[in-house]
Amino acid sequence: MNMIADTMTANMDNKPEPQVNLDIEYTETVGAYTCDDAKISTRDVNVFYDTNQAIHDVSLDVGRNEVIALIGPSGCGKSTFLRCLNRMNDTIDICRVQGKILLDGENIYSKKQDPVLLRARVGMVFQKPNPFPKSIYDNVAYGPRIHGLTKNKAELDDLVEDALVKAGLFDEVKDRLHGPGTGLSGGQQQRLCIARTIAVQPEVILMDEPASALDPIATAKIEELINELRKNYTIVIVTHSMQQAARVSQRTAYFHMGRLIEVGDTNKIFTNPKHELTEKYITGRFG
Amino acid sequence: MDNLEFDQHTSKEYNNELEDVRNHLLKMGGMVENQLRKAMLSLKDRSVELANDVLAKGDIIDDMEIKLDGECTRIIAKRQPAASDLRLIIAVMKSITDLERIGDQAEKIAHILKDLMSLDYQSPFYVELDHLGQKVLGVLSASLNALARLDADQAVELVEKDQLINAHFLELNDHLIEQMVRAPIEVKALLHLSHCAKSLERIGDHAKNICEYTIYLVKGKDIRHKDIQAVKEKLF
Repeated sequence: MNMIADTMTANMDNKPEPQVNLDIEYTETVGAYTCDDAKISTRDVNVFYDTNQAIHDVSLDVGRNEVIALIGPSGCGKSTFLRCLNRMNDTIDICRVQGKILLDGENIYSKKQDPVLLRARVGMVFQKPNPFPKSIYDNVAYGPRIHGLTKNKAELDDLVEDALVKAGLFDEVKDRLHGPGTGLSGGQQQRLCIARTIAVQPEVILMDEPASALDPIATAKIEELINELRKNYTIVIVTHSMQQAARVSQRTAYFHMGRLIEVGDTNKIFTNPKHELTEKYITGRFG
Repeated sequence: MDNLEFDQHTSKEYNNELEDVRNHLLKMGGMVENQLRKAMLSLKDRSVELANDVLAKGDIIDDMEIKLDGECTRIIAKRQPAASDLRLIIAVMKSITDLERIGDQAEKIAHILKDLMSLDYQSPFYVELDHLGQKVLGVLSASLNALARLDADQAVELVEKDQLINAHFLELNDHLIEQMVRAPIEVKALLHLSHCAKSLERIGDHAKNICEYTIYLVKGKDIRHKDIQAVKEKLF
């Protein structure tokens, strides 16, 4: 295991420290941002898009086998923060990430860390279902094939079936595994994407508004699936639906203008938040 | 966060709905308070008309409870309230149950008073009962004010006062029992007075419940069945 490295940056260029323009008076995060058994630990994370600071000093632990919901108004930085957790922001040239992000104590921004392998450990499901233009089977088998997770066809078949079962999709597609993934309904496509993520046996699943493009029934299935997946995975979910956050997560973190304002037990956040900004957001008082 | 505001939502319609619920709750509270006041006046003036008036208005309070329950249910279904909005709805739904029961107790008192007046029973206990009634009326009125002003400090003081009402009731009841022993012929009338006193004591309990909901609404803590001194030290 790597020793904890000092502050790392995603892009190691020597740009001058950008000027920070604070629009809100900064107070320290309300609530316990640490966990006893943290799968992911972030400390003093700052993210810049060129000179524009999107995330300010965010420290947050994600507990093992926990679902944590990141909520906040549009542009608050919750998706940016989520994307830091598997280095998806590396693909954006002007993006710089500072601070510590540890997965099981290892700095994911260390030079030794291969981002491709990291993304196998920390999978991601996006807002819009994005199956490959391939068969259902090949969508799920794609990851295990490129990572060499199976030795033969029989093992791959088992792995694909297992992923589809875990994603709650197998019974609906078992008779058409070689039909196109894009022929499924929106909800089924999203569960296919979850199966594709699970197939590479990740430890953490990041979900960026996974049900925002789905109808209520498909959404309920995804939420039920999240509850099931929690037994085996750690899940970080960004959602605009506060009811969804309340239903699926054990902890909730509220972001506002790039800052982590409050984090705590979901039941408490939704009945008795401590910070006025959290209260205003979850009660719909932001105009 | 004690400075609760219910009129700052992005949706003005939602503001109006919450405002309506609050207004209707306070209106119901005012009506219930009036019922008790009239019942106590009926006791003081030995007025059958006032007792009848209390009995006639009972249905209006029942209707208000049903109406408010419906409004709260619709808000939950349509708005999925959270945080202070959720606590407001919960506090309203619980408070109206207590208010309706206070209304029932006021009706019960009115019934008993009519029976007592038909017995033509004269006793100094009427004055003692009136003292208890005025005390309960004062606490009920203050409880409704605390709810209207979202004043948790006043609410917690009133929760404590319920013990005084209970003590007053027990003392009065002891006196009534002593009188029953001394003058068995008066037992029927004395039992009526004892039932009146018990109704007043129950109204005190309901007023205390309303104060507890006010504290829940303002502070976000459920203090029911907790030691009030410990609550004061921790929350205030």
